[in-house]
Amino acid sequence: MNWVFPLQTGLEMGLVMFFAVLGLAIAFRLLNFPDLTIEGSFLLGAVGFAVMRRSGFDMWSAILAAQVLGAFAGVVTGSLHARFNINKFLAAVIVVSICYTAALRLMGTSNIGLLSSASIFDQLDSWGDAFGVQAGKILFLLLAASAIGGVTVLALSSRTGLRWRVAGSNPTYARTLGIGVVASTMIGLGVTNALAALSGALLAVHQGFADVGLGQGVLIFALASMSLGDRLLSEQRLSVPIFVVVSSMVGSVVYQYLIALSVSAGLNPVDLKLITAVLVLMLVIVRAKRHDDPFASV
Amino acid sequence: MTIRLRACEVFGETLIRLQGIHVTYRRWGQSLTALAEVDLEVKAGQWVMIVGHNGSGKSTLLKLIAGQQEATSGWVEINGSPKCGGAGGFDSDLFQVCQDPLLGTADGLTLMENLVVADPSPQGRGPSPRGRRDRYMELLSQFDLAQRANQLLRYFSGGERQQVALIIAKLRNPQILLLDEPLAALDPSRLPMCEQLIASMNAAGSTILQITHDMSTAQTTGHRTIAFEAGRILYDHSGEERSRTTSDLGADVRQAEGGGDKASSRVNR
Repeated sequence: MNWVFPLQTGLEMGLVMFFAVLGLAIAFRLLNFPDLTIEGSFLLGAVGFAVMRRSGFDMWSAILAAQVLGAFAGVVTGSLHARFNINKFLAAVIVVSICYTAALRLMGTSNIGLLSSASIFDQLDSWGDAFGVQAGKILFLLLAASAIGGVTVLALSSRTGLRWRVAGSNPTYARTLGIGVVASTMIGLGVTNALAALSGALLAVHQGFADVGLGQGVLIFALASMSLGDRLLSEQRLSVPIFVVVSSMVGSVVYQYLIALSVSAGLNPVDLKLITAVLVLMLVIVRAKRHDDPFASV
Repeated sequence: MTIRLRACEVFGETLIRLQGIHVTYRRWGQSLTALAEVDLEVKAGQWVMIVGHNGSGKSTLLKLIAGQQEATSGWVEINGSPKCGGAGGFDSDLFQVCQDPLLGTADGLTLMENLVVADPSPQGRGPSPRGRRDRYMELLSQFDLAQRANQLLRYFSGGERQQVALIIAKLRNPQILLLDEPLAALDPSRLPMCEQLIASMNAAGSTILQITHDMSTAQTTGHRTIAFEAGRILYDHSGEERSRTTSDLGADVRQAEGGGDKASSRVNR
């Protein structure tokens, strides 16, 4: 069996998906919001990016537009829950279905190919050719992931970040402290869904196309990555924001590596979601038995 | 333990005024009157102890003042301006320590982060970050919690978290402090320290409404004792009067009922 090629795929896909995993993990762990919206914002990110590229905008504006769209989806979910008291799951399911229609409307067709426009990845890959693998792409993704991860840690440890976290974990107490719970929830989910949209945009670049099926299953893959990272780093002594960022990255890469390995070993991709679901269940059940776990509920 | 109380004459003007308050909970064709015909005035700087059996309306009173509960009729005035209930408009002048220790702090944050997030003084002004940190550590070391500053509050016991809630109250130095059985979860060795802390907040100017189930505490602590029964004020004693009150609340209730008060008839269909 070839170990190197799955490693490369695992790193690339793991780093592409890292932002979505990070968004989900922040929402789950720090804002106490099991946010299903990423299924929609991820798709919206990919589609928004592709539409912008098709219209002739450059790479960075397209990525920015993708994130704005994703953030908007998150803000809507947050306001539905915090402002109108709609159940968290219901609010997210409603927004995901809106995203699906919005994506189709934006594209006008069911998919957009991006291969005609040279991506930043192609330029980077030419640098890495000397190593025999596409190291340039991985290096770029690693830098982007580390930068965004670092900013996330700083933001979540700041006083403002702390206020968002109080609003998520204990809204009644947050109101006692004079924290605007509605605004905090909307901003928090806006940020986490912008991260998911960034992953969507990067995946569109990576694959060379965007279609309406792109977001499907992101939630379960991100959940698996999050639980895996949690398990792998559970013995480490880290501050909570650092833990969330590092475990998202490790979990995402390890999960994508395992998937790439299984596929190259002959796994039928059709079975992927079932296997992922079983993996998530196993990780959650194992963890639920450990009483000292700070996140036993998720 | 020495708790210095202010003389009654020093109290300022009326800070909290409740007039003709009725609170009725209605759901599924049932109704329960939590508070009925409550008129109450609390002067600035007063420390009011509130007693009463379970379900007598004590907690509803605090929720009403905190703005978490709307009155069915009557009005609440704080500092001369009407308080709108329900929507939960909180002002920084008011702080509440709940009966449930899990509700009064944020468990996903460390002890230090809890203090940072609760500190009302604006960032960028006042003391430097280092000065703030020293102040937090000083507060914590009074309660032997300094070495646990970087632990998640999730790993603190209920009693410890209640102490943290009181420390946060001290840090916020609110104009009005609402305490719903703040000492119930504490072990006896911590009681004097926490009582001292509450007294120091009153001395620093906070007006305190404190619920307790301990009659002797209710008679000896603070300036005034109000007893609730079945949503009504059973008695409201201050000064000398308090020491003459019987410490058996049940006896007071029976006496009042004998006097024709329909205390047991508040569940109506």
